[in-house]
Amino acid sequence: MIVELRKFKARHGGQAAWFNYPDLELEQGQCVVLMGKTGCGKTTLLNALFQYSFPGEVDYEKAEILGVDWRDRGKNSYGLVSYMPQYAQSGLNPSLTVGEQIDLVRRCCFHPVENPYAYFEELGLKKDITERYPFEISGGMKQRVALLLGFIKKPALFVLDEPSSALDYITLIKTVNFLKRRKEESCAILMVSHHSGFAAGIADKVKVLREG
Amino acid sequence: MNILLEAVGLNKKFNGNTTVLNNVCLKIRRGGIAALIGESGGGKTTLCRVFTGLEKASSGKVLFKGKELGTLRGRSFDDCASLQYIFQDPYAALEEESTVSSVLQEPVNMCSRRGRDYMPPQEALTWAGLAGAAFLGRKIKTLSGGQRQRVSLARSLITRPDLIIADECTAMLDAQAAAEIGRIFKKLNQKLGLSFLIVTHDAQFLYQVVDYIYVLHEGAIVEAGPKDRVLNIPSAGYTREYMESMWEIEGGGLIEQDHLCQPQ
Repeated sequence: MIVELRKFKARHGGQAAWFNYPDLELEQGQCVVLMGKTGCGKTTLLNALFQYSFPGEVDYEKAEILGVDWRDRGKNSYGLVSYMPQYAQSGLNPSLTVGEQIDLVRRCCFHPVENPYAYFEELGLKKDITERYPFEISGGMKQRVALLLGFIKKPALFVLDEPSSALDYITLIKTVNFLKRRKEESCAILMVSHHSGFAAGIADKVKVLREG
Repeated sequence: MNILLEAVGLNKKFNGNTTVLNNVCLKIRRGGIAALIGESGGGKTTLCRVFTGLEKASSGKVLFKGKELGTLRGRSFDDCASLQYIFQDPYAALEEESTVSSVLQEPVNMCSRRGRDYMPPQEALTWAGLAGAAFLGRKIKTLSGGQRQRVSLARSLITRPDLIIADECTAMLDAQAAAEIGRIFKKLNQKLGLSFLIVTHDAQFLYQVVDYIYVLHEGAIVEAGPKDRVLNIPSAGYTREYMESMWEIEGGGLIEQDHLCQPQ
């Protein structure tokens, strides 16, 4: 089991109300999508589980990530879990070209993919963007570059928060197919999305969160 | 004057050789809601930035109410006030530590100094669907993405503009929040006669909110026409490909199908 949650709840520091989450099981090669209205706690769950220092509290009966209890998670998970947060496209390094950022991430990984540029075609990216800086490419391209950076380490679990927000329909289909192929390669995907069509293309299970 | 904004042969190249806009010609009608659609990297945002003066075209003209506009520094206050821009990212567009009141007061002060009529902040918030004085005291950092986007909309209404350009303003919102923004745009169009140019990838927006569609592909307008014609009988090969992709995604999803009509 890649992720298993039972009676998991979380709250931000200084807030009285808890977000109570449904039980969740995510296996290798599967995709679980979390959906729900703005403010229902989708991103909070991802932050509570994967943020290095979550500014709040959690409580649970069982919370295991890659077979390890949530409290014992730490740097060991770095090589196995990738997390693409919301607005990741704004998080690219503005002073490095796309190619330099890809090479930097490769050098930081234990077992990186051999040729990350091979994914360019799948994602509908042109090779010449490797020489461009983030401000020289569109929001949708930046979002796909951020997605690619997350896969360079060949994660066992990829956590994605709204990965389709800046994508048009033609690019969405390419992204759906890209994620399906990664699932076939045994990567587990935990994703937050408000786009039902996009979610339906990838999800094995959909969990709809309600407020509280 | 029926035409509010006009692009005449706009070209834009980055680094001297990458063509982003290629002889773009379009006309935004007063009182209309036009959409600009197309693939990522096709030049949609660059075109909006040229319209708003944030980017300089390599050649071609932007006419607003019949008058040629330059870049932002060369524009009069009235031109800037009449043509407002809502950014894609509501988290980057507003200062986190500011209150809603101070965000809305800034354009009020600018209009007062220059003797331009303005909409009171309370009224602008009501139009944007955030009624109640309590909102004025809220800090931006306490608001959700949908609420922030509505504050951005309220800010753009203060100067009583003629045209609002909204660049993928619902991309980061859930379906309900996006639908609410669409309803507000429609109401502002019908009640105040406000015109819109909307960059969107949202099928519900295309079907329910807009009345005219421009399709941009690799920097060029490949198709333009009334919504029903472009959505149902697209003539350009690229538009057909775009519509087929839209149906592959939305048709397989959980979207409420009765909100959409199938292409003929």
